[in-house]
Amino acid sequence: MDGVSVLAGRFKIFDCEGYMGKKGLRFRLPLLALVIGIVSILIAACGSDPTATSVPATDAPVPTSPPQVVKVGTTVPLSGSLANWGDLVNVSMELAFERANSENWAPGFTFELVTEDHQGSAPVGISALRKLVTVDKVPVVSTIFTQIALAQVPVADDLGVVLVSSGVQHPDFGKLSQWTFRNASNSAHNADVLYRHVTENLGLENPRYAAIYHGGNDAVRILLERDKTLLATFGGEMVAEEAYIPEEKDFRSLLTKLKSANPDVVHLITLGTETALMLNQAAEIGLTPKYFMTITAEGAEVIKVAGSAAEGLIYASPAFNPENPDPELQDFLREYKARIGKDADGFAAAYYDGAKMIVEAVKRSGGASSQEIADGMRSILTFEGIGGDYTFDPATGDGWQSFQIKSVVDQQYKTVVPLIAPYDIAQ
Amino acid sequence: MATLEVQGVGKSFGGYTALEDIGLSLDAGSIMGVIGPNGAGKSTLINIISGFLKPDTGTVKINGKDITGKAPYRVFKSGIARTFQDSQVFGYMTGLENVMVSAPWGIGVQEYNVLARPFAVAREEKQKREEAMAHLAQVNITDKARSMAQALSYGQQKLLEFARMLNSRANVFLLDEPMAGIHPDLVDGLKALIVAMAKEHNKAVILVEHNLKVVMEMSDYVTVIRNSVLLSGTPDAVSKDERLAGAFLGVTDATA
Amino acid sequence: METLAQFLVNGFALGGVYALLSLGFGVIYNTVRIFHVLHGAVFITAGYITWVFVEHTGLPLYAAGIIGVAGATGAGMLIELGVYRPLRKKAAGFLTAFLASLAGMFFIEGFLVAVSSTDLKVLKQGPLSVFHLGDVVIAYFHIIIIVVVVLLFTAVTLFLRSTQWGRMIRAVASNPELALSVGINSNQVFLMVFALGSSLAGIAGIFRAYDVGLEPVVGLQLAIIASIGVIIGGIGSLPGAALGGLTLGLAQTLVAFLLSGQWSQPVAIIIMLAFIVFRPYGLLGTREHKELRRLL
Repeated sequence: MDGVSVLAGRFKIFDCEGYMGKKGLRFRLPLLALVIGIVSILIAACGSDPTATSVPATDAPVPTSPPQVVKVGTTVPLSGSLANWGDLVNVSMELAFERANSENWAPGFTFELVTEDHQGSAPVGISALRKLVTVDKVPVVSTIFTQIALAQVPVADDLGVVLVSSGVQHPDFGKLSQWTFRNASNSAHNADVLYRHVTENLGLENPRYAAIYHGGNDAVRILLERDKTLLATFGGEMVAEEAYIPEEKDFRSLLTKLKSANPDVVHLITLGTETALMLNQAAEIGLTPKYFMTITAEGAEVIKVAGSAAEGLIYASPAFNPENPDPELQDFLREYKARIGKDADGFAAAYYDGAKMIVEAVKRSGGASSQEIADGMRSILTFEGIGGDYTFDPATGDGWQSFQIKSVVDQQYKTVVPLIAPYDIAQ
Repeated sequence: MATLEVQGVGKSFGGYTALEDIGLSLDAGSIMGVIGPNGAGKSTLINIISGFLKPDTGTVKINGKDITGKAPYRVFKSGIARTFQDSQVFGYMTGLENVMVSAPWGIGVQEYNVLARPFAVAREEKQKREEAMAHLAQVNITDKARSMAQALSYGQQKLLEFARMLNSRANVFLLDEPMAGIHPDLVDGLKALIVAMAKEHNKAVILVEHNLKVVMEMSDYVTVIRNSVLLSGTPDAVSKDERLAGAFLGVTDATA
Repeated sequence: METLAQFLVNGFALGGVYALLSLGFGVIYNTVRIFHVLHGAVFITAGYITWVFVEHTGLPLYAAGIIGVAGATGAGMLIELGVYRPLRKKAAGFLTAFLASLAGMFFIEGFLVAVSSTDLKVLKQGPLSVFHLGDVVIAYFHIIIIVVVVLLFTAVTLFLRSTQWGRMIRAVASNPELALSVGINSNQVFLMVFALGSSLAGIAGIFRAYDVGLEPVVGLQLAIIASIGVIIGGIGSLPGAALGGLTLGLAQTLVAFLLSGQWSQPVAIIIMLAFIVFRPYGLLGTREHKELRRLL
């Protein structure tokens, strides 16, 4: 009665006949092939970025010998849940290299971007890095997202390739290897400054202090340690530490628990959208201490989601000022908007500056091997970019970026302290 | 015009011919016994008439309407109800619901009426419930109206099947070995019920059995099949025919 | 003690949304026997449609919400017509259908990322309005969630118990071959079931989008929650499915209270495994002992 099961319709649970029978196999293989086919087309389509190759400039003065092409790799997310970040930073780097090529910033060298998708995943990030170095032979790679960058460090070490990040705020990223460099604000430094701002300027001495952090990542643990050091030095008590996982969106339990600890100050070591939800849910239960975070709240549109609950939030933001009339900055802002349809933020500017620093390093050492680029990078001690000023520790390659303290006031992002100079290593 | 008319029905599975040129016709109020040894194609015939299998050749008509190869639910709506060899009930529905479900008509079937005319639907429900209770009463299991069907004994489930068929508006009943597995004490009651279906409710009943004696007792007509029709006629004529013994020859478990 | 009461309130609000989602998943699974991972896609579809209308046309929330639920219902029916029905026609097995559903879920997730970025979509700005009951803070919206869940559960139960459609659905769930022979067109019933289950998921999706917002990845995550709710509630039992979802919400909240928020996801899996080992027929399930074993 083979007709009956077909007519009866519904799916059989582990229908052995279906699996072993010829009919079943004939049907399943093409379906499987189709699924695999579609998935691989999607991966391929997302992986190859048509905007990634830069156009060589035609009006560059031609040196005596043809310019040496320096391939600069980037590993960014072009697919997966972080996909929208990939283009945002790639366009910045492209703009920097196009300008470097046309204005001949490093005589005898032109620069070209080679992009690999890391899908927001550390294992993919590692293989993307390997591919860039072994297949595309790039001497230097720019990367984004702390988790992935940290996973890439040992590989960069093995391969002897320069790994630059303009986004990773991990306080020790530059110290991890002789090959790692960073032009981004340093979250530990930001935390010091913000802590002192909150305690001294807002009159919350010896605060009952709490931290909410997303679990797992090394950078977060370093920040927590830093908090404890600050409290030990300047006074105050850590009354609660609450961890969450980023997939979770209902923080009411966590916040209810936090409320019973009655903190004065809460350090949010959180990612953008969760921050807004937390502020909402905290306001609901009447948990209203001073909140601060060491990264910017603007990209995640915290006000849009949290509204009145965002009022008073204090955060560090790159000292990037789009009002600055500097022609290079204004050109960048215009071009960026034209290419991607969005306004550039401090993050995009930092990636422009990071690319510019690679050019500067090549120029300084007159060569484009990994070793020469690393030496060149190490020789840069201060750098004025369109995204702010940077200082670097020549011993480690670690960097600091100037930033400002901002706060949500009357439903707007307002600057509270306009410019905090980057940490001065000489002090 | 006969109520049920089967003409030239044939069906093979792969190279094996299960049925060949089967023809039979039946009027309301009469019982047709279909007998034959195991593997003779009796169940295949039931499955073809009820739409569970499509025949390779031939036609099935009810009241002159061709229903050959129609989906089982359409065949049912044309007026043919069936039972299965083992008793089949909706185990996680009550006895009453098992009966009521076989009336998929009325305004309640239009899903929007549930929202648009809830009171009319409720009235119809009440009426359907009463009808179903009446049919449960006919097979003497009103006390099982609120029990889950899976908790009933095999015999009670069998009776529930009959109540379900009576509740449907079908006028042809296909009974696939209704006596199989029934406790001997219940057999007489079941026989009386089947006869009553034909004689009192004026249904055309096809009774597939391998128990020759039962069939001969109950049927108005008997058709002997072994892949094709060997014999047909009144029980008397068939039982006297010497070809009857031949039909079961070579079949080890013949119960003749 | 007040804190514990606060947790219970939070847990009921979270569990209410889960219960609705599990109820929808259960209605579909019990009848069609398909591990409908795309339920998660239906869930977010409602939220996204509502968000688009609120954000771009300025429609009031309730009107956009009705469009969102209608969209989810349509999406569910389209999935049945475009994915599952063709597969059934080819006599595909349970696993094939599951893989197709999973692939579809990834496709929708990728599609949403591509067209609307990964930003959280929240249907409101700012915190919910609340009232105080002693020291316990209760959001009016959470009361609405709980009331709506109770009403919908009652309505679905009544529909399944005392309408011809309900009986037809339960008949197909109980014995699909027999259902055919009593005049029930199973394809039609399946379509109805997808419409019913998907509208429940749609309502849950809008609740979620209003309460804590939606992002593309949440679809798969909540499809898993819905299926766990059905398993711990007892496969085959709709009150079980609702209770299972509620239990998960309470458990996640309670674990965050006792241990840490990091445990809220793992605890769902741990509870499911505990049920599979010690009580495979779930809280209210009766028959599905065997079936669960076969399923796993």
